[in-house]
Amino acid sequence: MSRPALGLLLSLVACDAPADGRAAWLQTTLVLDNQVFLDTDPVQAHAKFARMSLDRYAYFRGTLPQFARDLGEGGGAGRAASRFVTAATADIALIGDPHPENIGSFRGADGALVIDFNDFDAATYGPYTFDLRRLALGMHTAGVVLELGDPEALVEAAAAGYVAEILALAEAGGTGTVMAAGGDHGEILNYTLRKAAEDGGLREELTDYTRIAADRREVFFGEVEPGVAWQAGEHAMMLAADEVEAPTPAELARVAQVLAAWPASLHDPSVMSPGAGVLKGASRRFGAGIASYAAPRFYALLEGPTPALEDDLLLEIKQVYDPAPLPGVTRLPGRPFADNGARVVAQQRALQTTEQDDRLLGHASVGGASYRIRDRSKFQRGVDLAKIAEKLAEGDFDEEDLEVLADRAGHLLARCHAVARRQSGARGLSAIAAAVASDPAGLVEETVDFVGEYAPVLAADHDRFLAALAADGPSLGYLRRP
Amino acid sequence: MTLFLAFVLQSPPGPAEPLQAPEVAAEEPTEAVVEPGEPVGAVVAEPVREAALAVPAQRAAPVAVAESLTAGERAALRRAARRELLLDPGEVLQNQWPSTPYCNLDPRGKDVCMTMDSELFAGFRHSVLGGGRKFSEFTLDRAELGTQLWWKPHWRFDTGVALRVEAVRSAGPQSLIGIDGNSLVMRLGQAYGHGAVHLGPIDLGVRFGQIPERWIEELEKGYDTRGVVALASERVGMFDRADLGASLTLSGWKGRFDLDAAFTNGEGRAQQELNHGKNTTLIATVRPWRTRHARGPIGLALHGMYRDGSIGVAVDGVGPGRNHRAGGAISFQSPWAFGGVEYVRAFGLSARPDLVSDTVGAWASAYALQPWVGLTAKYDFVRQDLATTGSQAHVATAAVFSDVFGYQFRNRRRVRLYAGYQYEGYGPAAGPVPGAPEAANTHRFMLQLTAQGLFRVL
Repeated sequence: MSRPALGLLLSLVACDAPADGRAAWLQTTLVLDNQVFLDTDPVQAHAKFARMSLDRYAYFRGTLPQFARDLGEGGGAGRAASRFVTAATADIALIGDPHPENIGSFRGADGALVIDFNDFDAATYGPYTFDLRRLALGMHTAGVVLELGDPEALVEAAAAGYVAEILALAEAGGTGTVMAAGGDHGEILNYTLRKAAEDGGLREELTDYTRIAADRREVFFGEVEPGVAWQAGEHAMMLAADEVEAPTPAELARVAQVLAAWPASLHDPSVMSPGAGVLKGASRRFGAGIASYAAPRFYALLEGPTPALEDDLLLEIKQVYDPAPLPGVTRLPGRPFADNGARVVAQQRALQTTEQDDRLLGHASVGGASYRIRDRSKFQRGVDLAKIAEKLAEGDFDEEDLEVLADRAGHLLARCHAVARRQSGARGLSAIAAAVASDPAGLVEETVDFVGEYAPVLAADHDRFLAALAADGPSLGYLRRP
Repeated sequence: MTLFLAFVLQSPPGPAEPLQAPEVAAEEPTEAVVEPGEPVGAVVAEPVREAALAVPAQRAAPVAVAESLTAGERAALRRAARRELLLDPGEVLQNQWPSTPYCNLDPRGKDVCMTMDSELFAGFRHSVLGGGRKFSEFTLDRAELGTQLWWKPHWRFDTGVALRVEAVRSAGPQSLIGIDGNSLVMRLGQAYGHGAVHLGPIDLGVRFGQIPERWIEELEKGYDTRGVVALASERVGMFDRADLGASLTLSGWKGRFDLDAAFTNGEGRAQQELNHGKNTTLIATVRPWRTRHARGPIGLALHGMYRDGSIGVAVDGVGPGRNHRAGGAISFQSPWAFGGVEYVRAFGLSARPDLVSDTVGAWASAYALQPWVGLTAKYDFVRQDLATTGSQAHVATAAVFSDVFGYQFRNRRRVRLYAGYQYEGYGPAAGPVPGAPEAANTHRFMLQLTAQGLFRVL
């Protein structure tokens, strides 16, 4: 209850310091950022918070909006000024959330496998240092979770890779680093490409999410991977890891509407021959992602080019929402995209190696909700920290391989920023190169210093988050109206 | 107690005689052109006006009804008298709640009126930002429609209901989720019941519902150029224009002093209550100098406020984050010029309980050639985070303006056009890109239209 303020003295107010203001801010902003889920699907919203609590990297993945506030708002914990930003570098095309597990493989229109960023839900326009610092922090957090001896080395490798790519592009031009299969991109990315080729060629996605019965392929409902038991204080639940369930009639109708609108958004509509888009079945996927854990996600099984079962297509349909706001950033015009589906697809095509890394990439807007559709093929395989941990334990990977991954990620990010067009129209390279050229090593040092200051904040916030879950449960104290 | 009841229940002042028409025969309403500066309906009300000028402005003029007038003519005279707003058409209408409503309700009680008002701020803006970015657009900064019903069941008591709808973009800032793209939609800005008790020189008023922010309401009495830029504290988000709650106002000697106490959820217009805490706000306003000129009131007002607030979800064992405010202001109004200074400090802002931020705003506006040419200037300075050096931002605005109607009709009808320039600048650690304040520094060239009106419909 509020206390009557009879004194009206600033000294009284100054004494009214909150016990842990950061905890209050964290809990409030997490609720506000997820209010749409807390109101419309509280079960999944609670599961998202629970999923975020499993380790520090999961918490990092689920708190991009908090990171954005810390960098952009007055009083934010990450507002370290940069010497390498200019007005011209303030509207660069951003990945939005370029952390290591958002890197993966794609099989392009020419059949070649390449490495690219694979999650553009947060793609937007803003200062390039936002992405660079996010990548560096992600590398550091991965290093901590993997219990590496020197996580800071990953930060330096990522920043150095970024700077090297920018300088190389500025000097020689061209399209920048392309990480295609057949080249040497370090053990981890080489492994990712190898496994993508194997699993994609075997159509493993059909094995996982469909079954053949009586010469008909149907969608599968059930657990693909077992769930995870979660508990915090008195609160407990089972978290889905990879589970598919039958959609409700309304959801199935929605999937059909999305699929009807989707072909118009394809980069090359001829990729879908007549009859290829016939819907054979759909399932609702649970347990995927972290930031998008609670977002409705469906798998749609399509006929494919022929009646043969082997060429059936599996698409992922995911509802997409606004990216994390960058406080104070002015965009002219303020609404560069019609909706979030269009935004995600446009930025993915602009930032990836080719516009057809995913030939089936598209979007649709139905009933005010916006969806991104992609090929659910196992040719699209992401970097996975759990797999890296396993390989580290087996001795197949070592810490040096993580540094190479960080370096490659830095190169990749820089190429994305340099080649894609700023919101104002020009490519990003000239603006970034002009900002960096005077002291490239300084940008690396500055990025390392930023992570050195901010990583402890992230760690402490993770602890606060766990305490909040134990005290208030996975609703974080949100009072949902019936 | 007996004396109090006797005071309350005493007979209202006013003549015991029936309404009298003026000695001049009433004229039928004509289609005569209304000259600029003349209130609409003046022709119809002319016979009544002579008698109205002879009595205090707060009371409806008693009209002598000559025996030669027909019943219809007498009814027309009464309707004309009722259609006039509270004050004489030559008087400046002011927001004097709870002392006085907008309508000339019968001082003897048992009367009713209804007003309708609208407000529009529309403009054209050419913005130039760092990095070679330029952009032009037409904007609609405000479009509101309000209505108020007033009843006066007893001569010491009036009550009523106020509703106000406002236009707002369906997608929030940086959001792509809107209605039919990003259409302008109407939402409820204010909705509350109100009542006021008049006890001699003391007026006691209460509001209940989605009530206006009283700090903004008080300061804007001395701020004449809201159409081009908001008060500093509103612009930086220290106050929302309305919130769910209740307020109590004690006003003495027709606004010589006002004491306001408000109790609100604290989440503003666009969010439901998230915690068990409530905002408690106290505002004191004193008008030590107030005089009446033939062209309108002149006054100096001093304002002070404190808010004990909370925002966001409660953290177990600690409670929700603090969201306090403390501030003061001086404002001056006259028929020729307005001016003022406002200072507000926030203890907790943007859901950050630890953040301390402050802002100061100064404004001045004056007619150079009334009503055709006026000048306005405003300067707002904000320190986004007192703990961070270089976190200041400032906005400087200068404009010329021209009115269609004069100052006299300020709150009844206004059509004003501004042409001006605004600069928004950031310190090295302020703005969205620390280290590159030029990324957010903005030059704006503006044409802004303010159109507002208030009239009585019942």
